[in-house]
Amino acid sequence: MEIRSIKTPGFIKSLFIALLTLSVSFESKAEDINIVTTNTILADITSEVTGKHAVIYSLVGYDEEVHAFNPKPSDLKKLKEADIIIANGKNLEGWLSRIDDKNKIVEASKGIKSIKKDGYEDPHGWNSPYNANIYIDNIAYAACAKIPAYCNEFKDNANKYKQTFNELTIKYKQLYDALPQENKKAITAHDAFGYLARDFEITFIPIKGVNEETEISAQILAQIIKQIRESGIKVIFIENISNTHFAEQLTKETSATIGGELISDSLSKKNSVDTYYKMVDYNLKTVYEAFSSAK
Amino acid sequence: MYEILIQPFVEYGFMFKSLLGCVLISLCAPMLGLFLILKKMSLTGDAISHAILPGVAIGYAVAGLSVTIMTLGGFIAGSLVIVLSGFVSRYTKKGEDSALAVFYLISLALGILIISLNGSNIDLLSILFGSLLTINDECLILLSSITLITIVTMLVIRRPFIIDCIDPDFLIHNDINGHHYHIIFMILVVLNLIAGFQTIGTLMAVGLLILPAAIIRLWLNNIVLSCLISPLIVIISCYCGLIASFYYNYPTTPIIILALGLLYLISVFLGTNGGILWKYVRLKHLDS
Ligand SMILES: [Zn+2]
Repeated sequence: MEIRSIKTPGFIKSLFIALLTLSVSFESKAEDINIVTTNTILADITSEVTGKHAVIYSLVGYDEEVHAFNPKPSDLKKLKEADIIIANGKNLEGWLSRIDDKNKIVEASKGIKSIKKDGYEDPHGWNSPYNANIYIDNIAYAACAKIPAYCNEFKDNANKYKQTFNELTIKYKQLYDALPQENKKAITAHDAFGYLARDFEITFIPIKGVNEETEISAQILAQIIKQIRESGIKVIFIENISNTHFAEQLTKETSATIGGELISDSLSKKNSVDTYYKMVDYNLKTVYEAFSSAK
Repeated sequence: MYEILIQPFVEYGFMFKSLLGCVLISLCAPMLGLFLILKKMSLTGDAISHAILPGVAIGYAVAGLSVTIMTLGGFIAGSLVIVLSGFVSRYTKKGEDSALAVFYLISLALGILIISLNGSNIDLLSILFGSLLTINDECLILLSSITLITIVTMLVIRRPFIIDCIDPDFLIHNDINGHHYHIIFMILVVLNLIAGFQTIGTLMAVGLLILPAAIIRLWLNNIVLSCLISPLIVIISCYCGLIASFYYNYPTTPIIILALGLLYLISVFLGTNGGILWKYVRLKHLDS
């Protein structure tokens, strides 16, 4: 419309139109930036940061187990088409070492002060809100590098997003600090909350290890039962991504009870905890309520 | 001694429940295994046990790790295979073995595919290798029911059934349809394989039927006595599996099967009913 109203010589007009279409095509191309993330948590953080400028696909879906994941051929195709691959890192995605375009991989947990378990880095950084800033910054940085034109917007989004996490962290930190230390201990389904435990001074005893090892021996089960009996642990948390058989067994053998279901490694549709923010809030709230009502 | 061998089962409920599950399955599984061997149908047992997997997998796809639904799925699938293997044995002659082997490989692949599409590899492993340590009350009730049904049914059909095993012509001559008893027996096999799946997983469930039966055959010829003594073999192996898991951190299922395997090897040498050693001694005796 504007173009028509301006009286300009033909060639300037066509140049103008050409420039306009160029910028339009650039914009549509930018909006079509393909980001593949390895799990739903990273997908949600990425979508908060990039807004409408990216098409995001998560390899592992809602409520699905992340440790035992192996890419199918269709996943490899998605990875090939991706402009950026956002992975957690810290050995969560061991299969990534086998793919071709390693230069596209962004390690979202890079910079976290990591916990070592049996000589390996614990990958579950996202489960402590103190690490949210690092995840957000890493992803914003990667998005900026890919589409510098929207970098300011990404940084804006990231800063606002980080602010909400800071408020959440401060709120819960105060609540947890007010709890008596002997209440702050529980059993978890697998070793997914090491960072949360460190940052909020909680003792979590996991049934299964960091990588959800498959076979639990009678010895391990007996040791956990002994620990619950001796240290007076009252609460057992189950998880959205793993079955509850062992937890049920423990409630029968000890006086501990199920304190709720935590969302550990994948966002949850069945619990309608479908964003990373909701997940951290939900977990901290669930654990806090169980601890404050434990007698 | 008491502290090492018995204490774990007193102190920890899950150890006791696991052993109880083993005792329940031991009462009938070896007996059915004995008749499978007598009828020369060990491989059919194997085929059925693998065929249960896709049924269990569909149950899992519908309702997750629910004992009831997975059992129902397994039972339907197992029953289908009885019908199919009937056709196979009727329409093929020499090729029966390979047909069954092909069949159970397909079942296994199908089962694994269905579970993989619907959930994690971790659930798949617990279905394939069992979860003896997480046996719950629901599962114990299921095992008790299967055991009760099997014992009562076998007592009712024992006479014509045993004749059908040993001398099928006798029944045909006397105008009795032995096929009915065969079908009833095969349904019991399916039920007990499902019980085995609950304890040691679908991959090795058939081991609880065939292995103790093969062991007892190397010691005894008397069928009734074999049925009465064979439960002990299963209980001993399961006890070994649980104790090894308790003290040495080993997974239970492989230890149970390995214990049965070891007992089998010992029996092959020492068994009073066809053991290698006695044959050797007899030969020596004849020589001198
Ligand atoms: Zn995890």
